[in-house]
Amino acid sequence: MSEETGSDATEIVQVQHDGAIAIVTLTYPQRRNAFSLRMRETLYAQLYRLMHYEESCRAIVLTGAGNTFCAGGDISEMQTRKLLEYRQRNELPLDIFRLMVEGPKAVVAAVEGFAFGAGLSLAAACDYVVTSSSARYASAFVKVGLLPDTGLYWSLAQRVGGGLARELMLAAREFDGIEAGETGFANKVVEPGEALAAAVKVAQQYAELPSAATALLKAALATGIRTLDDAIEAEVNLQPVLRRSREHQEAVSAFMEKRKPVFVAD
Amino acid sequence: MSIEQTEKAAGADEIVQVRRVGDVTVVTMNYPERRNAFSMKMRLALIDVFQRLMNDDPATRAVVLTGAGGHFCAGGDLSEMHASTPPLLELRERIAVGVRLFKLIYTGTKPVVAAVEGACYGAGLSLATACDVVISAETAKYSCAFGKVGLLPDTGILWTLPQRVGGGKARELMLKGDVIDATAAHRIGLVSEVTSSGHALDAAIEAAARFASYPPVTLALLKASLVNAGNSIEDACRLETDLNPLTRQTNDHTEAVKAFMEKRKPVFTGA
Amino acid sequence: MSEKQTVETERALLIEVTREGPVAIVTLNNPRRRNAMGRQMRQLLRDTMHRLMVDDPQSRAIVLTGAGEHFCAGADISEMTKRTILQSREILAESCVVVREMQAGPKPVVAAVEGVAFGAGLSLAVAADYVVAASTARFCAAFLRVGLMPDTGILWTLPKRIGMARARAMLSLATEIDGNEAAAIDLANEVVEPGAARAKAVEVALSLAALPPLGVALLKESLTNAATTMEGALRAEIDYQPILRRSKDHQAACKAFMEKTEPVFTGE
Repeated sequence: MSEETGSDATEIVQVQHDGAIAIVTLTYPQRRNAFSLRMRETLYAQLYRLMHYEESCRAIVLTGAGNTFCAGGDISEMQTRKLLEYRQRNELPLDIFRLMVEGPKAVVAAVEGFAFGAGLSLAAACDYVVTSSSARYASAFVKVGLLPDTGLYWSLAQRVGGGLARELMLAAREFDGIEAGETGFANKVVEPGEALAAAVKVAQQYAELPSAATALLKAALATGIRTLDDAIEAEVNLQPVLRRSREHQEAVSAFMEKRKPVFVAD
Repeated sequence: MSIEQTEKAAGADEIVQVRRVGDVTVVTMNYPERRNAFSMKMRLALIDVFQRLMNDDPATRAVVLTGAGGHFCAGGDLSEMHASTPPLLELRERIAVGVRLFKLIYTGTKPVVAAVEGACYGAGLSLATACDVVISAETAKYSCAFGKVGLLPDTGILWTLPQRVGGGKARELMLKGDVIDATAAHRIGLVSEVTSSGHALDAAIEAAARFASYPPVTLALLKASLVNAGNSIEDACRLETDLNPLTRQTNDHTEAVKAFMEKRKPVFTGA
Repeated sequence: MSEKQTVETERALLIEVTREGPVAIVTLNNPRRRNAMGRQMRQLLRDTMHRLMVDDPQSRAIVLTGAGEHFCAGADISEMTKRTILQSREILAESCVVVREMQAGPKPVVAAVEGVAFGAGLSLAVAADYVVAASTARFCAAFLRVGLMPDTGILWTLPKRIGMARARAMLSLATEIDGNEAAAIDLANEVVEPGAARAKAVEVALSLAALPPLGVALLKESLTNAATTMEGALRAEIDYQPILRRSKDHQAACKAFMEKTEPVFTGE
């Protein structure tokens, strides 16, 4: 059972609800879902609403229309601008990246086709990546004389480690879904055409877990946990809050009474 | 693909040989009778070469690092270490030499590709992992056995090995000091590509040549950013916001956009 | 025996220490509860690990394992009564001391995992330097299922082993994997037949115990504390390597190499 939100069929980012899951689809198939300014503005608005206001949404799936995820920045929009304008235009992609990484709900990527440039950045910013075996990934930025953006410096190293991230960004080397699975960039590799269905299943697993713990775990991981001290600080600060949460108390009661817990957020 | 070979003969008895192949400079550690052991003489020679290539040689767009005599580098010179133990402060200076070389490779302005045949042990492994890409022959062997001789893994490998294979696997390799083969090295992410025996250098030159087709300023800025960009979200965001506009203002970026719109190959000038 | 002595003996038995040559074997000992950890057991483990690391010349390596068929089923849920925030903070900080000792302490730690390593049990296993897992061992970061976030240092130790992408999934979905899968993703360093984990762990620990101790100590300290940035890693080698070059054990290793003999290391 799903319903369209946004009756405008030309909406560049479409949102469908499937129970507690929101499916966010980048929809600009004639340009392979290029990450244009209008795409960025709409994506940010939709993600913000889902993350912070849509209570019925417990997890998010991010995917692309037309059997492709996102082929990167919109090169036709890359005109010469003033320095300060460049700096200002960089804020929105970073806001999207931070929203995905720091927001309280899990985001699951469903990748078919191309995830180049900013498309790679978007996939890398997700909590969980489901990839078609034939999907194609590349940090293509350097080929057009640009540096990686939309948080890729952080998110790619997080997923595949600093050494491989370095190599992929410098060489702009392409890798497919199979290699994405082997290197750990993708969590799950499926047959072409099956990424969305598999991603929805994973999102449903997230949706069934306690929401407070999910949110605080994401917040902790967003700090990067570079050192053991970071890890200790995060858990000492956040765990006591969860120990006092309704969801945790319910889990303990359920355990003692030998029954399934029923989670209700505070 | 035929590659134009420009022999820049530095003499057959030079401990580090340098020759240019198109836009790529091949640096060969040349001490084959000791499997290119990482002696002080070798370190100082490498520093001279990399200093020049990174900062004073516009014709070089990418570097390949390899070893003569069928081996990459078998590590520190134990007989040198046995022969003399300098005072503490002098030792600090000597270690700092290795650190200087590491920084030239790891934070320098041009990509470096390692071509590994044979032994890649100890400081040899440190050199390989300092490179941006590691191409390995299927018969190459890797180990990080500093601990067996009571030393700390050095020449940057405390940083670079975990970055490549993860902290857990790095700890295992550094504690146990086991020798692993190219297949295992590839599986854990230590090497990027495995070729048949004797072909690592060819493949490395090919990989390096591809770098040469990217705008040099962008590559240099990228390598510089990568040192700290992954540390935190704040660092990543700040570097992006500060440096991206620089690249957008380069002629090479404008040329790239133009070439894309006109559906042709871009021609980069380094401006 | 007086009542106080009985209580102390029972308490002490929650953590057992045995020895095999230079290897100290630490056994979590509450098999009726699958070695679930209550506060007493955690405190005892913390004190035991600390003592072995800094005040036990007999041992050069440590094995951590569980009594009976399991490693450790996690924190004792029956003890999760309502606590104040400050109490919770103190208890969490306590558990983390053990992880810090294991990761940064001078002696290598090898975990031998049979049966379940759930929740804080998983955290302990992955805090070791080397993990030997039985093929039928079961690993699960079960925290989320009881509305808690993963703790006992696992936010750092698990991604270090399996990468942040896989760790994120395992931590946030509380998925369970067995020993074979654990070895495939490098959560475990080695997988063995069921029942063989302890023996293999002791074997690995014995080989690590034969290494020059000072080098091992400074390596573990560097990897945990100093080498979390590039500059930190470079500073560590400049600071520590000269000390090691001048150590007796390094001289002995060089001499043995030149003369083709077996070196004996004293830790100096």
